[in-house]
Amino acid sequence: MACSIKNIYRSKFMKKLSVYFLVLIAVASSCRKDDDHLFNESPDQRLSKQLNAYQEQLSGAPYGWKMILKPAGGGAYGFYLKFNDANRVEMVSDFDSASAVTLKESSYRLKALQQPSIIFDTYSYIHVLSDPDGTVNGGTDGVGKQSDFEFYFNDSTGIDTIKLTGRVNGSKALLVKATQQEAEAYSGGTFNVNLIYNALGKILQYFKQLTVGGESYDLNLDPNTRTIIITWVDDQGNVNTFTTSFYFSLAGIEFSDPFMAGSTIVTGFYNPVWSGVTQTITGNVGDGNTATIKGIIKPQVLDVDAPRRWWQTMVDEGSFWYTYTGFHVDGVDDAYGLQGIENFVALGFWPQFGTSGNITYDLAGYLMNENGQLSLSFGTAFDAPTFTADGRIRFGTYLGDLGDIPDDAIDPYVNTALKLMETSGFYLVQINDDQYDMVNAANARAWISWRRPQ
Amino acid sequence: MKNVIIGFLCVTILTGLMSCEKEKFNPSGAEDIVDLGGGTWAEGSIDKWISDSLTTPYNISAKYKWDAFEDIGDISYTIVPPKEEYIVPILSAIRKTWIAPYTTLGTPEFFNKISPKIIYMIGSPAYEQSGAIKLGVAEGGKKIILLAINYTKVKGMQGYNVADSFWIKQMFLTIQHEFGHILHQNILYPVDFKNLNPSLITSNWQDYTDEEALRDGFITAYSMNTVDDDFVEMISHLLVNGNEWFEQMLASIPEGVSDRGTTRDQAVTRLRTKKSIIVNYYKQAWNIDFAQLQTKVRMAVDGLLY
Repeated sequence: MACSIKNIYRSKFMKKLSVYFLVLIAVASSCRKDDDHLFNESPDQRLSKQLNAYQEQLSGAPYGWKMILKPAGGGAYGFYLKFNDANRVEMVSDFDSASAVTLKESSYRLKALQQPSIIFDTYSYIHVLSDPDGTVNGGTDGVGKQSDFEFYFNDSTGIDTIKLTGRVNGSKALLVKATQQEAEAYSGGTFNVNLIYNALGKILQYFKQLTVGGESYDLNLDPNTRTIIITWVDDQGNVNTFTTSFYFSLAGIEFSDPFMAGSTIVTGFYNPVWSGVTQTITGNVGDGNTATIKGIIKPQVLDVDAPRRWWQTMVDEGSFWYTYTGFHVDGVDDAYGLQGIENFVALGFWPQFGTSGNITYDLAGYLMNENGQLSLSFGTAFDAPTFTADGRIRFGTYLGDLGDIPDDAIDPYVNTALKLMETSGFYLVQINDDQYDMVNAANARAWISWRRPQ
Repeated sequence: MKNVIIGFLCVTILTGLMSCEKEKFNPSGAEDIVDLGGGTWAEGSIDKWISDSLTTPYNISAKYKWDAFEDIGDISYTIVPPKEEYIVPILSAIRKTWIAPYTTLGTPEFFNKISPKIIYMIGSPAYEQSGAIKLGVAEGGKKIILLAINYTKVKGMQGYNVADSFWIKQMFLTIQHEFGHILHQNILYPVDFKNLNPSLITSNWQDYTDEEALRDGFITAYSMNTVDDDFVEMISHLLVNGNEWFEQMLASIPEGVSDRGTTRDQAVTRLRTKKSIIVNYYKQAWNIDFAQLQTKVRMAVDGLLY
């Protein structure tokens, strides 16, 4: 059979082939032990060396470090840190006026996680931003400001700067060596984060105008989100917007990204001085250039669709906007004293809350703590609002009160309702997806920051 | 030809083998492994207090520095480490209300043998998706994780007021609860306890309020989760809240029949039976006088709160 002959021939050939293979394998497998390492030292030795180098760099800086931390959740925060070589660090932070002047000691350590890392391992001002309790940092319950306290050292690190990336949320931090002068100022309790707020507080209007090099810009500075929004109309009539986070330094506020005002580079706003005569703040914006900030009633750029968008959002979501403090009026937060009402939690606004006799009404409702339960206790009902072509919302006519208004709530309640019914209405300024500021159009001296429930 | 090939092959293999000079294992390189044996840091006064007051006498270590590899059940929780100024006051409170009563009425050997070996402290609570917050976690008998340390103040700490006692009381309850589990995992409670109310045990205990649970003869709603939890919830509440409180709870049960068909008398009898089984269990299994233990824990708790 022709077929079997072929098979015999093939099997002989295969046998020979397999022998050659065996020889090949035997030769190949005879091992060489003189491995050529790419590096002279083992990975662990190199890692250990690297960690020691970072340790020496951190604790070796005689005047400590300035740090800018940008949480993944947004904003920017300024710190001063002084490390020693025994796992202790002292710091101040620009989080509030107390943390800026109170040097606090906590613990840190360097550790090899997947990369050389620094862990701030007991509570410090850095953790304030990561705290899951929203009342601690103004963030969201459960995640806080989405910041970090465990960081990788980035590869691009230089001698006088260190770059870090958060391990969990990916927040960014930049450390820069401080000078002796800076060290003395930060540790000596002279870091004043209220400097700019005090000056801005003298301006009663919500809308502020920044003037640099003869040009004027609308300026919006939100302390809670640490965001600055600058808007203006250019020569061609186009609307421009510039957004940056900001933090505090010894001199004033620093923009995370510089703003180009014509040919002037604005890196921040320093040494603010208030003049009661001209009702303006004068300051320096970097490189010796001066600028002024003053209050205005109407900005040059208005988001004319914002009122309807604000209103419609909660119609679509079947939800409400809320504020803990109600109206800010003439420089006073919670001017009508909502927080003074017993068991008051928040004021909410429900567009199209309900229907009564064929009229669909909006409700400004009071959320109260009733035996541990959040409940909508009472509120003011308004007719449907009107939206003007120049970007104002005018709340509809007063329809009536819902629920029983407690005695101690009557004054705050009536004052709030009267303000809402101002016929000139309100502008709305969108800060982000979750926040709109509602500013009275008559004089821009009353406003509410509305937030979205989480 | 075949033989030549085989011979050649043998020689090749032999050379191959001979060239494999084995390297001797040299463990000296292991010294370079970073963080081998855990993280290290310069010891401070807190570390010394823990070593002197917990580790040396009771073989318990307390971890307060952040460790990314500790697991509290779900890595997606955002949690932060504790404030240093809270560590010693809280551990000292734990020593007074839990370790001291047990070691004076039982033997130190008994306590050191079965006590959990690690207390891990977290500054914040863990926020659940549901909006609930988690305050404690126990892993078998080995480790107790205490959360919300940064809220847990005791008398004498800056800014303490009696309203803060909620947090520290929760912590005392957590510890006594977990230690109760360890006790019955070593020596099981009498079968009588299991037969008291088997049909009322439910994993849907969250659907009931504490008041509803009480009407069915449970000291808390969580007691209905399992018979084991019923046993240790009774222990922790009897120890931390005391007898007077227990009697008040019994007196507060309203007349009538609960939704699940328990009368007032049945509920009271059931709770009293549970208590007496626990008292006997402590005597027989561990030779501890439960009433004395209760007094000692209560005195320590009162001293720290009021």
